[in-house]
This record gives sequence, structure tokens and C-alpha cells, in this order.
Amino acid sequence: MTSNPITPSIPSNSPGMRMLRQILRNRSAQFGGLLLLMLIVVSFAAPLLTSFDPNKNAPSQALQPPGMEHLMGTDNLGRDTLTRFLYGGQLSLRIGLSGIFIGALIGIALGLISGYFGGWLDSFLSWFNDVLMAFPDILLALAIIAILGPGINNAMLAIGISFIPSFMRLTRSSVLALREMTYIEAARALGSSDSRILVRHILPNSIRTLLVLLTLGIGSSILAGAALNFLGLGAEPPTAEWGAMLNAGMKYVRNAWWLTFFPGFGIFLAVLSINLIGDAVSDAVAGTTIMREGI
Amino acid sequence: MFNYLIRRLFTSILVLFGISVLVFSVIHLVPGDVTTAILGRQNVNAEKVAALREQLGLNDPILVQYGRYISNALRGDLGASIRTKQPVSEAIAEQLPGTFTLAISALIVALSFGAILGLLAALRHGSWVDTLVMGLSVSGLSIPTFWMGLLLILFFSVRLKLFPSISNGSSFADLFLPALTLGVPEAAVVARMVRASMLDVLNKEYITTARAKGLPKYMVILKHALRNALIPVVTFLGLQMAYLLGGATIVETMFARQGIGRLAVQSIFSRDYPMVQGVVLVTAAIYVLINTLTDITYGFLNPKIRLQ
Repeated sequence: MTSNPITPSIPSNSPGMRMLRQILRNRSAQFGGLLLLMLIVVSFAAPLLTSFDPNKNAPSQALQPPGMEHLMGTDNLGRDTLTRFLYGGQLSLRIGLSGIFIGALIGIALGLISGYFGGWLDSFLSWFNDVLMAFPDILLALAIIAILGPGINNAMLAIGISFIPSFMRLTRSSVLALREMTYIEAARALGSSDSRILVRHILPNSIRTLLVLLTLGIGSSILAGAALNFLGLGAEPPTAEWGAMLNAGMKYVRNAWWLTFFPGFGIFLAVLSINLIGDAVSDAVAGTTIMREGI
Repeated sequence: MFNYLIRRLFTSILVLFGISVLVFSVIHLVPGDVTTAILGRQNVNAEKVAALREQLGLNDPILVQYGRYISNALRGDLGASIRTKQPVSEAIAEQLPGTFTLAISALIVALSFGAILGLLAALRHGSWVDTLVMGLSVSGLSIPTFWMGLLLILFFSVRLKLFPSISNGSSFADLFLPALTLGVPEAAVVARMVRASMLDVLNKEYITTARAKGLPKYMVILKHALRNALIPVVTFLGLQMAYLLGGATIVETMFARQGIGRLAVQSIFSRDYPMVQGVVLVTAAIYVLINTLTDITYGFLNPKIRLQ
């Protein structure tokens, strides 16, 4: 079978492919990937895995320890903890992912504009970025929640905004190095518009560096989301979410350990799996950079 | 050095100005009318709204409001709490020592555990000890602070009855669990840094020379390698301290400790905007101050930084 000469193909020895192969070969990344996949599957397949309603009270079943009927026990209102763990996982993962994508989207866009156009716009955006970076992460998120009020969507937005500075700074520094490259000058000489240069040439070449921040950021974002929910600033009762479940279980920590153990373990496993993948991505990016630059 | 100092101070003043604008804007960015948000829809009547607007100074033009806010803030007046009527700066001054004590204790935990583990991993590079330390480190980075705090309470407080689960004092027993909760994730970061830094230093020529001179192994490690390996870690301490001030929010809430983090969370719940503004302003200003001092110290120690 002959390949179509018009269809662009990714060479199997391209830096991107090499990086992907290196990540897939990494034992920690394999373990992390499997763990994450398992968490995603069991969380989103919750309706198929459990017949209990996550929010339906059953006072007669209150505070049952883990057993055959309720594998993770029940809470003070008699709700099945395993069911709430599975449904809670959906929300915790969603908050984490949404937070990081909001931050990445805005941060990368601002970093591209700031680094590429330079001048007063760059000075202003860099100053604004420095100001945002002066707030410890959780404090910035708290200030945003103070403005918008508690709630799941506001928590996602608050986490997203607190991630903007890191993405903006990294993108900007990458753009500053790339915009002087010969191929960018060539694209400009050929009449490519600024937006085309940014999207087709600069962004793809910055991706490798951003990928590390993006991967590790998902873990931090899940942690931040769970922390806001733990503080009671996210999901409202009776919504199941790991951080909120931990908060609710704190009152019973002395006689019902399972109410705090399982939701916390869920957060830990999710973040651990992502950090393991993130470490492998970081090693692979460093590896391909070294190979590319011939160091 | 003088030029570097002036440049760094000027940048910090610009950032502080930005922080003050953002913090001032908090009250103006609340969707809808801020007085309704504070008083609640049921309690709204024209007189109360007018009194609150007067208290918050919302009747003046925005630039006048900002001018008054910043000139008062520079004199240490951050307004009064809507709920308790207590001056905000007084409330923060009461809570700040608790947060600092907790952050410094956590820093000690992070440094001692982190340095020992990082050193062990570097000295046994590639062995099971290294794998174990790196495994512990990635787990430490992944563990939610609040979950670890609860596990520590379950073990040390509920099971062994050694330390109190709710504590407000500054004795060893009172600080043990909160400091461990806040310090362990930081220890994971320090361990990684010490390991990387030690591995780098152990390959330097002066270490080979020290070994060739016949110095005992412990002397080479402690006197020559560790001292140099800790330099980047020490310069990193400022940033860690600033981070711990933010991280204290969760630990303070969890262990019901007095501190500005807990004060911030309580103020958000009670919609006490002047208090929220005050806490955010003070914490961010401390953060900037610590970063500036760290940069200046680093610039003092490393001439290359000054010249950049």
C-alpha cells in the first residue's frame, strides 16, 4: 500500500514521537497512566458500578463501617460512601481539569501576545503577571472566591485564574527565544500574519515546555480544587466531591475513619498518578531538548 | 550592587502598587451591589444600605476612594471589620504571630526531613534507598495537606493520644501535628532539591581532590559536599516560607488554630470584605517582602545575578 504524498505524516523519529515513546516506556508513567485510567473509568462508570443513590439519605444505615453491603461504609446520613466516592471522583477530576485548562488557555494566550508583540503591552502584562504571582496560590483563589462567592463553577474559575501567571510567564519566555529564530523571520518575509505565526509556528514549538507545566499542573489543580471544597468554598451539600466529603467526615474522625480515609485516598491516588506521568514527561522533554541541541 | 538594589526595590514597589489596586478592587468587583451581598437580600433596607455605603466610603468617586484607601493603609489603617467592628490591622496583628510560628515550625520540619532524605538518596544514588526516597518524595508532593493532617490526627491523637487534635498554643505538643502536616509536602520538595544538588556537587573536581587527599568520607560529605549543596536550597527557603504562609490557611482551619489564614476563610463566609482585603493585602505584602529580601541576599551572594 502506497502512502498519499499530499498527506503530511509525522516522521517516526521526530522529537515529538521520540518523546512519546520515551514517556510510554517509562515504568512510573505506565503505572501512573494505568492508575489514572482506572480512576477515570470507575468514576464515570459509577451508575453501572453501584445501585445506590449518592444523595439519598437512609438514617437507619447511618455510620456503618466498611462491610459486604457497603464496601466503604456509610456516612452520618446513611449514604453509601463508595457511591459518593465514585460520583465525587467525577466532580473532583472535572474541577481539576477545568481549572488547569482555564489557566492554560488564558495564560498561554497572554504569554504569546506579551512575548511576541513586546513594547508597552509586554511591560504592562508582565507587571500584571508579577502582581498576580505575588499572591500565594491558595490566597489568590480565596480572594477570587471572596469576590464571586462560593460554588463549584467559581472554584473552577478561581483555580484557573491562579494558574494564569505560571502559564503566561513560561509561554512568554519561550516566545522571546523563538521570535528571533530564522524560520520565524522567513515566515514573516513570506507575508504570514502575526496571528498565523503565533498559532502555526510559535505555539507548536513552545508546546514541549508547556507540556510539563500542563501535566504537573493538573495534579496541583486537583489538589487546589479539593482544598477549596474542603474549606467549604466549592460544592454545596449534598453534592459529592472528595474535598467536601473529607470536610463533612471530619466531625466523625474519631468513630468513623472511613469517611475521611477514602475520599483523601482518592485525591492522593489521582494526584500521584498525574505526578508520575508529569515526571516522565519532564524527563522526556529534557531528553529531547538535550538531543535536539546536541548537548 | 547599589544599582541592583535600587532596581529590585523599584520592581517591588511597582508590584505592591498593583497588589493594592487589586485588593482595593475586591469590593468593586463583587457582582451586583456589594451592600446587598454583605447585608443579605432579606436584611436590605434603604437606611442600612446608606449607612454601610457611608462606612465603606462607596459614595465618593473611585479615585478618591483608592487615594483614601492607600493613604490609610500606609498609616496602618485598613478599616474596620463589618461584623466585629474591630480595626482590621488590630485583628491581623493578633493573628499574625500564630501563622508565623506555624510556618517557621513547618520550615524546620521540611528542612530537617528533606535534607536528611535528599542526602541519603544522593549518597546511595541508584540503589533501593534512592528509589524509596524518590517514591516518598513523589507521594509527599501528591498527598493533600488536609488528608495527611487527618491521618496524623487519627494516629497520634485518636489512637496514641500523644498530641492534641485541636491546639492553639505554641508548645512542642501543640505545634507537632500542624507543623508536620504543613511541613511534610515541603520536605518532599527539599529532598528532591538536596538530592539533585548533592549529585551535582559530588561530581565536582574539588570533591575528587578532597578524596584524593585522603580525607575521611564523612568529612568530604559534611565539610565539602553538603555545605555547597545546601546553597541553592537555602536561597530557596525564602520562597518556601512565603508559600507556607499561604498553605497555613488549610492547616489553621483544620486544627482550629489562630492565624490569618483561618481569619481569611471566616471573613469570606461572613462576607466581611474589609477583613478579606486586609488579610490578602498583608499576606501578599509579606510575600513580596520575603521575595525581595531573598533576591537581594542572592544577588549579594552571587555577582552574576547582580549583573543580569
